[in-house]
Amino acid sequence: MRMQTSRKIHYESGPNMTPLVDVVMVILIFMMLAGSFGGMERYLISNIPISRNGAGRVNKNAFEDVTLDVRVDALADNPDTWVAKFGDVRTGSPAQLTEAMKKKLDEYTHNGTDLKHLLVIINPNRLVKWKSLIAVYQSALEAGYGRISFNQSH
Amino acid sequence: MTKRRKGIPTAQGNHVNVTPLIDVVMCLIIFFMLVAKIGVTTGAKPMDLPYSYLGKNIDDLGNTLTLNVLPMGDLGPMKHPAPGERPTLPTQMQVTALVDNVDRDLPIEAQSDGAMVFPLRDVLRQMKTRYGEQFKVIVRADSDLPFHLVEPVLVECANAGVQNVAYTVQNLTGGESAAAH
Repeated sequence: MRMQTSRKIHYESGPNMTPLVDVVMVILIFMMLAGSFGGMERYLISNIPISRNGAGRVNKNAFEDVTLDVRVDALADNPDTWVAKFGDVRTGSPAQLTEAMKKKLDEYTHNGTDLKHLLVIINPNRLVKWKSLIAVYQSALEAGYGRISFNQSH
Repeated sequence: MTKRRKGIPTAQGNHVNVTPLIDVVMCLIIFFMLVAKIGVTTGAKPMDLPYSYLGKNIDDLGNTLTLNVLPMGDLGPMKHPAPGERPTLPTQMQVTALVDNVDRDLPIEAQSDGAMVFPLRDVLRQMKTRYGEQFKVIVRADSDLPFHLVEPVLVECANAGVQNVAYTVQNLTGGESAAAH
């Protein structure tokens, strides 16, 4: 006599998603491991790496360029601090430096000097930290200058 | 007659409802595909980069050489001086770069068979010859390096005739709204 057993209820409510999930998970893990995220890094772009007197193949038109010097010194007791001298202004504040540079830029543009002929040259002391120079570079960019270069250290 | 409810489908029997999982995973995949750079190796080394809220993205890294300028020696007293002690400055640096998929040390000058050689300058000149005016150098320098250790790298760039130089900074905002100059 054949026993009547309860039949297992099996629902087929759609396509089998298991292979899809497998593949998608593998892709996800691969991307998480292989991908690199450089989203936090930016670049300050310069066309003049360094200005030098005499040697150096810097494409600099000395007859047309107006050079604006920014002297940057590190304080002896704390190399993290810096002082910049731009014209008559002597400051360790990026905001004040930006303000002074903006003012000078306004003077030049008011007199008809083309912005592309203005060259800011950062003259650092040899012990000034790179982050301080980037702060000065940023001030010059923020003031509106497009051509910024470093000079050899003093 | 019962009205069927709309919304998230209920699990059928012993099956787990995987639809929300697939939704989330697909979103993650699309996010990673858009954001991640896969297969782009610039040879960048981890270091403390200077911060800035300005800066641009460089989309085409094909014609670039990334130079890592790292301090050498014991970095402890430089980065984290003891209380009451003055921070010291690094006195030596190391330049590395990924040249033709090989990670290389590129000193400014070195002795080879009794003669003075200039590995960094030589590599810069080779790359400049290969890529021409499109060649760009990316300088990644540690934020605590004094200028006299970064300066030789810039001088060598000038000596090799490289005019397109970019300085890597850590973006303060981290967003795409960074101002470009």
